[in-house]
Amino acid sequence: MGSVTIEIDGRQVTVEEGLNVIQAAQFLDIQIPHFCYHEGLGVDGNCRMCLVEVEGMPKLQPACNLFVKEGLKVRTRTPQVMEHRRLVLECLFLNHPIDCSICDQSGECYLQDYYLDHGNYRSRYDLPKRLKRKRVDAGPHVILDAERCVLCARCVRFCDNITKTGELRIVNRGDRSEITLFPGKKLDNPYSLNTVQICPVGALTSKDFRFSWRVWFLKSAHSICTGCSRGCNIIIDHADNHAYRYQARCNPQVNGYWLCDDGRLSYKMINDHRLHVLTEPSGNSRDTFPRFEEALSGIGRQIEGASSVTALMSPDLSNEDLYAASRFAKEIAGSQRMAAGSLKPDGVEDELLRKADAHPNTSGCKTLNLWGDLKPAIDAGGDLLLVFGSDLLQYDNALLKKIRSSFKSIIIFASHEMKGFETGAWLIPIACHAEMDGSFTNFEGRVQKFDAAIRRRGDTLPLWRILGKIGRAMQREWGWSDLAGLRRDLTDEFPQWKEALIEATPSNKTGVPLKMTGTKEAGEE
Amino acid sequence: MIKVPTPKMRWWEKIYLFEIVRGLCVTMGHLIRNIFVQKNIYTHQWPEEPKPLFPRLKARHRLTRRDDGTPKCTACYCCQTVCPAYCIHIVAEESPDGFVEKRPKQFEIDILRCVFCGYCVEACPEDAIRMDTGDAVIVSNHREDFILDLKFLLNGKGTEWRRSRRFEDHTIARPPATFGE
Ligand code: SF4
Ligand code: SF4
Ligand code: SF4
Ligand code: SF4
Ligand code: FES
Repeated sequence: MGSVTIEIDGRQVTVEEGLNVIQAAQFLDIQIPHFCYHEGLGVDGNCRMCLVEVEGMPKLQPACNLFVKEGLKVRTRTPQVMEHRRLVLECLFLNHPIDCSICDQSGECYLQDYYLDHGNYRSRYDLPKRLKRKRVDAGPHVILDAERCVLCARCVRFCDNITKTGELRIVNRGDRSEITLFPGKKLDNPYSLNTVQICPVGALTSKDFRFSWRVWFLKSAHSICTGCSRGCNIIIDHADNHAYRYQARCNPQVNGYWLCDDGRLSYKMINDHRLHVLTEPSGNSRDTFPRFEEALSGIGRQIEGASSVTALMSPDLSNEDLYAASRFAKEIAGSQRMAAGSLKPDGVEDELLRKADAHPNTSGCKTLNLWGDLKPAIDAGGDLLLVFGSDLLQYDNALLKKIRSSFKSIIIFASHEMKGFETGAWLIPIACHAEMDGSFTNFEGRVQKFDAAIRRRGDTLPLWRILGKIGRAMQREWGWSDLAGLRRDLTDEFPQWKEALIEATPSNKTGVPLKMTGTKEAGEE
Repeated sequence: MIKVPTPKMRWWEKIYLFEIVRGLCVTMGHLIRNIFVQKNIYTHQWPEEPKPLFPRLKARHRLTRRDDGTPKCTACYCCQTVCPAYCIHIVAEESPDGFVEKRPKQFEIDILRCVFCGYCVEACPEDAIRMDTGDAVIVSNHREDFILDLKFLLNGKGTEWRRSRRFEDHTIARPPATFGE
């Protein structure tokens, strides 16, 4: 596609063909207010908030439906445009309940923001406000407040065009028009929470996040969803070292603008059922500094004394952790058998985003040549079992018994509580993906980095760090002092990671596809 | 730089002796006056005799209620956001009454940290928090007693003059919250 040069507010900008003026203006940091337009949903043109002045056209034009063309001259803040926006806002506010102190959207509400930019008028309307339905249970995850809706139809278009389930409609005319569900239907498609994220006002709110915290307290970190092997790009919103929600982050190659509900709600694993302290096989915890170090040398002695060692790795670990774990198993523990694999049953798969493989880093295990079947390794038994990752042994009680009987001692590096291993195994707390920097490789072989969001709690450390500590407790020169060093070693051995892990920019918006794996074409939209 | 001139001392001030005597005269004057005319001594029998406070004094907080007795506070966190001493702690919950959806489940003010700036009162969009209890003396031997909780704050009495009719509640009937009629 070629590029064209247009002029916005007297400044030239060269953009790709096919963009509209709202997108083009963003390159100049000029925000054109809009409600109904959303990049992922396309143009609808019903809100009329985005009108701008175009040279040579007698009337204002909607910027969302105005595509760039060589020589286009647009002005976005002339008195006529400002007056127009003020009037559109006045119309929207006629019947709007100013619920901001209750509304979950305050702080990220388009109406609030645009009001502050263009408002400052008093209401000229002295009739009673038209009341609509409030607090309607729209579906398993969503609550609807018809009064706050600005009728932009984003949610309607999402359900019609993206999930193709079509639960929502706008009914009636004039000031009676309101958003509603088809009779007898519920907003219960597996992507319903996306409507909450794209609703520009607080008409659709998430039952889960509702009233739990105000958005202006939240801080954000770029991360990757761990719900399945697609590796959707997300933002972790957190405050006070507690994760409050996931929001979709746009990556056209992976997840577009969306996120599935299960993935979006999987943020809870960051907060709940975490393993914080090192626990001995007797069940005693060792949480103070000297006792913690003693425990590590105890573990070191156990590893040294073992005659046959089996190592199991979870595809929930980051690439860096997997690499460190495999090196540790080989060089320090001298393990005879080593496999990364999964015992978790497959999830649901569909055309939009969800993948059956419920692990974020299966491809990473495969690229590191670790992938294998766990069962034979477990059946063979031995002296010592090293388990890296907390999800491995949670799904099969018979297997659990077998492990206990066929291995003399067990060391588990886990981020979450291990049911069935409260005693009888060393439990070593490790950080989960929200607490450290790292990377996952998604099912198409795209390596995506994630950033730490919250501080580590308790005694948790990233796996590669705790392995280094154990190595040092065993008087071995082993381990890395920082992640960069680990990544250098990793890319020396596996040069195909180099671009993704070392050369990619810190924000790495789209991730880097690994060239050697059978990379599919860019993900479905 | 601004130069502030120091006043020059005279020679008898430099000697100090005369000045000491002059100061003692003031003290002795008060002493002698108080011995002979005792009813003019300016003393205040605090705390038995409370001193009348200025009505606009920013005193201990309270939370106001609607006519039906429910707290006016909607747990919007504005006061917590604006508080410079970080002494307000709110936890919100969904209200079961169905009229105002949100209410505070916990509302705590750590009065030991409070600097009585009144920002919380200014920030509140609901006129739910006021500092008009006239209660300026908060005494206890236990630290926990200085954390005012929701129950305590809601039962504080305000001074009458402060009532304003601007925020009177109105009850309006809403259509039922169901779909598909
Ligand atoms: S939608 Fe926006 S303007 Fe309306 S009540 Fe919610 S925060 Fe306030
Ligand atoms: S509910 Fe939200 S997204 Fe849907 S039409 Fe109303 S304002 Fe738009
Ligand atoms: S008076 Fe000031 S310091 Fe005290 S609670 Fe209110 S805002 Fe905070
Ligand atoms: S500002 Fe007012 S309504 Fe909001 S939480 Fe504080 S007391 Fe409650
Ligand atoms: S954004 Fe252009 S009309 Fe709504």
